[in-house]
Amino acid sequence: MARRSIPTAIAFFFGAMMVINYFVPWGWFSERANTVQEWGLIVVSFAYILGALNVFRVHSHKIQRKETDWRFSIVTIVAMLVMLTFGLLPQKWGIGGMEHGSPFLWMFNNMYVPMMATMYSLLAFFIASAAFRAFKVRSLEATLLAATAVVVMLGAVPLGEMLLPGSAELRTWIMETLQNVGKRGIMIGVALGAISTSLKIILGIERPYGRD
Amino acid sequence: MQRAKLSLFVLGLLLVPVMGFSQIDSLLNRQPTESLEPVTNLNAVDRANDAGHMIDLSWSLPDNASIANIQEIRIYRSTSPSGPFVQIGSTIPTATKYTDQQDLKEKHNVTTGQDYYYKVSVYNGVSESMSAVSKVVTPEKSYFNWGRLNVFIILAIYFGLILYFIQASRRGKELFIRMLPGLEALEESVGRATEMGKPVLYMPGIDEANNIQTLYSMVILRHVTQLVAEYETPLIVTVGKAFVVPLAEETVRQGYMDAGRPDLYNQDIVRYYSDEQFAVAAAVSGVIVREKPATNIYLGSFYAESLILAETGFLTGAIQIAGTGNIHQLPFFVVACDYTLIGEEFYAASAYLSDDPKLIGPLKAADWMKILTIAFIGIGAILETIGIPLFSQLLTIK
Repeated sequence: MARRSIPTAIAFFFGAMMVINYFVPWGWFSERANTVQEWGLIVVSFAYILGALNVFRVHSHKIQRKETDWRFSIVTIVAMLVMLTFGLLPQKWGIGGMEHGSPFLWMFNNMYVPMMATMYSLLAFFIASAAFRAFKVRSLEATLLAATAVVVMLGAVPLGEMLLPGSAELRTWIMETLQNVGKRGIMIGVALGAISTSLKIILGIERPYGRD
Repeated sequence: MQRAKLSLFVLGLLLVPVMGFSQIDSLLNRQPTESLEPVTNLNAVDRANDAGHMIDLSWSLPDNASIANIQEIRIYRSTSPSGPFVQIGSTIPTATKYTDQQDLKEKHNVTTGQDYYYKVSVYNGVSESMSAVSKVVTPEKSYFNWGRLNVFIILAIYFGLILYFIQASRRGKELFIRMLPGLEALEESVGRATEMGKPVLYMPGIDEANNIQTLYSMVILRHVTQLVAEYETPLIVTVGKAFVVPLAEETVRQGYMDAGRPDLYNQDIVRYYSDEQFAVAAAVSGVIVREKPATNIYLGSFYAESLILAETGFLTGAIQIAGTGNIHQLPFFVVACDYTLIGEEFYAASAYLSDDPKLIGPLKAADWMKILTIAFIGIGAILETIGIPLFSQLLTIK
């Protein structure tokens, strides 16, 4: 019984506190609510230790068992340890710290950032392949979708306005009127779903935490 | 700074033969000759609906000719109309408003119940012109933010509807939920993975645990874990935030226990990669390509990585089920996945899967709230069209 009721009571207390804080500007509440949020930040920073341990555990098991592509796991662990070491070393040693000119920042800017940019740029190709499938004309709805997409794409470039005069205005109307109507409809549903889910969690009806 | 000084020096040397020392001296030491007019209509009012630590100031600027000379506007405060007035801040020359507020980091106090008087001066770099003293203002704390009364009433109605439908459902009233193909396909997709002897991949988005979508995704993860435990299918849970790791581990462990198969749980099921968006995208794409899960389930808060993951999954031929409340990612999931839970459908998952009256009630309440919203939008549009801005005034959050 206590296994269920104590986490529910804690969730209710802190959840209700945040809701009340929105409506009650009285200092006592806002100060406590801010304190709770600061606790959250402290807990999150400790979670990085758990995250690092998880990476180390999962990949060391892979290496131990020599699973498929286990060599990639060595690269992951070595990369993690190298970054961690250079980041934690004191700056006065000359090779530590995270300031400008440090090995940590050099590796971050010259290895990590370009790799991230590469992943992001891949998105262009994925959009092209997804769009190719999405705009296949197979039914009336698909035809309407493809026709709308053609107008929107033409309206976005100067050449399109030359080929199809008025496409820029039509594009603006499609984006601001038709698209927004659909988007706001979904947004209202999402907001209502989020509110009811929050209430269910606060009241303990839905429990993403603890045991039954 | 050094270069600027050097440039000025060189310019001075070049000007000497042309203008002579006396003229350069008068140019550099030129005083503002125009008289400074003070600001007028200084008004100080206590900020309504706050904790009693904010005072709003407003004023009218002098005429345009005088504004051109102003370098900054300085704010002075005193607890007595006769002073002494101490400068508490400054603002840009064109500003006509300023908020005096408590800043504990700067050790600046606005004390509830204390009388304050203000003066505002315009400063031209040499001298300043002070306004008249404002009327006394006393900050007072509010116990309720009346500017949010409309939100409170709407939330109260919604909460009331939720509680009513939960009770109605408990009393045995039949509440209809339309079919959600994405959730219907969940068991079938896990079954397919079992037949193929391949794992099921579950990703609860890349947002923090304080995002309601991530939190709710844990509820669905528990159901999915129960399903895979019954079929003894391998499960991979990829996580994009360190803080979600303990949450996901506990959820998966509990799911296996619920299914009566705690022996199937192992610590390598939940895999954390990075907090960085595209590092996670690269890592999870790698898992999809190398381990080729038969089913990929993406339920939670996703951003630009959504299409990278979904397209990679499509290329490997996996059955893909996605759901998110981030509407900009929905088109990507719709195109690349077999089933997509659109917006609110995502939040209906646990009620749909469990058939629990306590969970179905809130769904019906959300439906009724949508009907009310549609009615409000319709009536509001008509009223605005005929020039009665009643709803827009009532629904504005102050």
